[in-house]
Amino acid sequence: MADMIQCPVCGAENPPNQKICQRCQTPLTNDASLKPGQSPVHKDTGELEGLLPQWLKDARQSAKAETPAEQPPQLPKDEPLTQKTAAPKMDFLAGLQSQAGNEDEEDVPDWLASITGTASSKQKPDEAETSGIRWVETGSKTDFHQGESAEEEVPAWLAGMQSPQPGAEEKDELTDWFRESGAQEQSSQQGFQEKPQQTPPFDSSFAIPPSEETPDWLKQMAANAGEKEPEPPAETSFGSSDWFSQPPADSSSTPSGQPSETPDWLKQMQSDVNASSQPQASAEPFAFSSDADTPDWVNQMQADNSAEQAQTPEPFGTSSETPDWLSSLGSVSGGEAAPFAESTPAESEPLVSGDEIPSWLAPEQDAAKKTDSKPRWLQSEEEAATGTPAWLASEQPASETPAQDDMLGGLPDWLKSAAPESTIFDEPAQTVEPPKTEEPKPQAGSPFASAPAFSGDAFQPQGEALFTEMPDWLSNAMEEPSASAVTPEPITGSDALAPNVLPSWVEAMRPSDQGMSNIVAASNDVTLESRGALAGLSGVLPMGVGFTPTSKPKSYSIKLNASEEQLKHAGILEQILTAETAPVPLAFEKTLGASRGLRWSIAFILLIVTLITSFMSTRVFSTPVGVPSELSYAVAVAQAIPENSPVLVAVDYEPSRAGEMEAAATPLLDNMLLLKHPRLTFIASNESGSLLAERLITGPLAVHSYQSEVTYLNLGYLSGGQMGIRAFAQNPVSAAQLDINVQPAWTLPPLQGVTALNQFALIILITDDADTARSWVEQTEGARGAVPIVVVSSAQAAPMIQPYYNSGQVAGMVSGLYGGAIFEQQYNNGRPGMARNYWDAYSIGMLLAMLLVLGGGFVNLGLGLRDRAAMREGK
Amino acid sequence: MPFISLDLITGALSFLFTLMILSYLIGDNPLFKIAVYLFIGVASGYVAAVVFWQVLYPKLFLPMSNALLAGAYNQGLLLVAPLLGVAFIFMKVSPRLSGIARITMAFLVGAGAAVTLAGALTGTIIPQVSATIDFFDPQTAAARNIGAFEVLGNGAILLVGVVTSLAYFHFGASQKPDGSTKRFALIDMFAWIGRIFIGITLGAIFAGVYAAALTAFIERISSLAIFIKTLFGIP
Repeated sequence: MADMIQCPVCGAENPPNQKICQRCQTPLTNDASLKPGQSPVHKDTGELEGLLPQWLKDARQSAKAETPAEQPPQLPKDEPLTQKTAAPKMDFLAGLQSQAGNEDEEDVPDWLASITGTASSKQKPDEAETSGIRWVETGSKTDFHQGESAEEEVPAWLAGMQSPQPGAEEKDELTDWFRESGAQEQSSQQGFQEKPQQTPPFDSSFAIPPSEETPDWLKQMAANAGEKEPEPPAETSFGSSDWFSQPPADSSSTPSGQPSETPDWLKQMQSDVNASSQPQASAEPFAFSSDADTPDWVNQMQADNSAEQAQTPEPFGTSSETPDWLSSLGSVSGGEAAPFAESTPAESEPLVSGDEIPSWLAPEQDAAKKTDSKPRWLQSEEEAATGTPAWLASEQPASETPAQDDMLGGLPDWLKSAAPESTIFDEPAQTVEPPKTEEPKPQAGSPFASAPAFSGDAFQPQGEALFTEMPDWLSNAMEEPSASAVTPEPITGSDALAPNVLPSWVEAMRPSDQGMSNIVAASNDVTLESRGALAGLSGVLPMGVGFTPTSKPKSYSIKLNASEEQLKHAGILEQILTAETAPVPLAFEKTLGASRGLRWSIAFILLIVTLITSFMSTRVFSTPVGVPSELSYAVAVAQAIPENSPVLVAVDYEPSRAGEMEAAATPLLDNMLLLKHPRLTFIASNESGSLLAERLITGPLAVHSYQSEVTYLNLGYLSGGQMGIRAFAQNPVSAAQLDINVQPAWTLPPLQGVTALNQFALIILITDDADTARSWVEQTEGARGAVPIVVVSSAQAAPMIQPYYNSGQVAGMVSGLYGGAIFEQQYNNGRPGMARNYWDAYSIGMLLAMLLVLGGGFVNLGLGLRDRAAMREGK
Repeated sequence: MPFISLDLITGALSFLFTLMILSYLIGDNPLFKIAVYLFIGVASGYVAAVVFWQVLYPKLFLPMSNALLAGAYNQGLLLVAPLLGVAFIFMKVSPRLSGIARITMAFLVGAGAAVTLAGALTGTIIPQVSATIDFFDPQTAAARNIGAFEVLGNGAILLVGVVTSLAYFHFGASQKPDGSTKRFALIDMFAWIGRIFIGITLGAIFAGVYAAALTAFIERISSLAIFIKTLFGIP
């Protein structure tokens, strides 16, 4: 069996050298399904076996059991239904596969699917199974009659096409039913000429029951259709297609009750409905109203579903309402070329049935004279007159005829894809040649020459062989041409299309690759980048169109046109820059360095002299006799103050100068304390001044037994420098409220009666810094008034303070050890003797310094003369 | 050790640190550094204590507490400004917040500059210029018991010295065609004379510095001698 070729449509196995299926005449080669640019893809619809509902599986099981007896002898024996590979390959299950199966197995490319209206393979299986969604995709639901129950108006053979999965059982059974009766009915297919787009390309599988078996209601309906013009409903244009709008679940779950002659599959449907507690009457495919002309099984179905019909928005209670497709047949029979939608009969029209050929089929036969037995989609091909297949030709007038578009778009995908693949283009010679429209007689070989849709034969036990093999009507369709009196004319000449050959207009509609070629051409730019970060890469920066330089770049001269003056300035600038960067040698002068020997020698001399004089307390050198004027004025001022008068003493010198300052200030203070007993108030503008003041009063002046806060007061540190001095000069009470012991100073005895600076009798400034003396003089200039300032300064600051004395701003000066020694010796009777103790050492030190300076000067002079003489000799 | 007294201890420390400082004669040595570090540390601690006890406490905290206790909130509010100034100065501890201290420093610099400028103008410039002019005033000289001749002599020397010294600090010069610069002849002559006066002044300052340093050295050596004599009971 491995060499056997299995028909992709009916699943029948054929010999290896067979190119056409012996059963369904379907080309066995895959060339037909191949499209330009596509590669053949293996499809295995058997994988969908598991998706089949249980009732369908049961039906297939039963068909499997009965198939050997029912199958025609010429057909090979079908494989059991349990084999998943056989059943899905049947025609109907192939359609099932295309809708609910794998998306990957879609043979029709997108571009072709867009032409034919076939749903894209990218659609989800659920969407593909939902006919309502199809309507959304291909048209508007409002184009079809929604008020009526779809199952009531939809013919059984269409109901089978409605649902891909759950409804597939119905479809297959109906198809099988069609297959049984398809051979007997030929003229009924002519009724579909006026609605060619409603009928999918797979309409060849539909079988119209023979007139003898046509139910009465159908006959009556056909008669009514022939008698009067159908009135198009206001809201519908294709009322018979309402069943398309029903969700598949509805159709799959609403088999109604069945009469006794109802086929088994309908019974099964009914039982399923009763068991499922999902009374959705809108999905009932056969909810016809009870009517006398209606077949019994239909009446039974209606009676069983009466309860469910009540839930329908618009139940099929209007018994006279005829299915649209039947009405359209009537309109067609009347010779009307009006759209199918307008042929919908009025709702009051009852269904009429006859014993023999239904009345509606009678005019249909007349209409069949104008048509032929070929499928509708083949008729549209001829109408296109361009050699285009009907299913492709329907694409062109789609925009002009909405009815056709609706019908085509409303068809399931598997129907759309089935028509061109298997019957028309692949084997045009094998297909049933549609007779010319002028031929009035029905085409026996037409697929539509089948049994009536509701023929009782359709529910014969042979229906149990559903899904197991190719439908009979299709087999008959393939066999009929030979038996038929009218041989179908094969499509030859320009109308015949070879496999894999598309019409020019189809080729023109294919996606053009010109734009892509441009992009590819641009990407093929292999310009190699030679510089920059992209060096070595090619085609990274493709040159755009129009950016190619069209002319030679303009050349510019790089010569600098400068005038003489500019060149001169540039030269000067260059010289300046050069001079700044060039090192300039420094002229060194020979200096006398401080040699260690000289340093140690001087230090040793001074140390020895000082130690000797100190230890020995020598009085070798007499004290100075001449009294400077500043000193004499200082003594005069100090002696001029009143007795026990407040005296402000500012102690602003560093501890390192304490020896000199104490030696200079002690004679003055001692003289004053001794003679005038002033109330001393110490203040300092540096941090150590207050402590030095305590040292002074408790050290050299301790003999006067001055008591703190009694006879003297230490205000402590006056912060702020010059600002502090100015603040104190302006408001001493506020600037220094507390003394060094954090006691209110201005209420203590030393400051009794003093609230301002000018209330002091004398201001004595003891400082070693000229700037400090200047600050006190400057900041107290306006506040002190006539209060004299006597400055006791260091020898180093005396030259800088001398101008203030000369200007009269300072009343007197005692500078350094020299001034203290004079004051001590001349005005204080040698007390306390401190200056005198230092005076010999000081005198020796000064002489030594003079000698060193003179000696050093002479040495330098001698060295200079020698060098100069050497230079003269050298010259 | 009954003879050990506070004076002896302080004298010993003074002697020791004096020798350590004098050791700098032989160069930089650890003894000198120890003495310097100790002096800096003690001085810093002393300054901190003085600032707190003689500035912050009597002039900020105590008045503020008194004002708050007495309910004189107006006076207390006046002390918020120096308190904020202190807080801003403390921000210098953090490099990130040191910029806040600029507020206080700006106030101090501005106020100090104003005070200094005003004091210099009223206490130095005008009085000194006036005093220089008055040197030729016979009445002023008579008030100081200075004779007329001496007044003229002192005044003349002082005038020449001031003018020539100021001329020395006049650096204006004209440019010659060859690019060289030269002072005006009269200014150049005054400047040369002024250099003599400036030299004398610097000599006097140097003598004063030397005298001050020598006095300090003598005082230290004398203190050592006194300590030694006191220690050993030498009269």
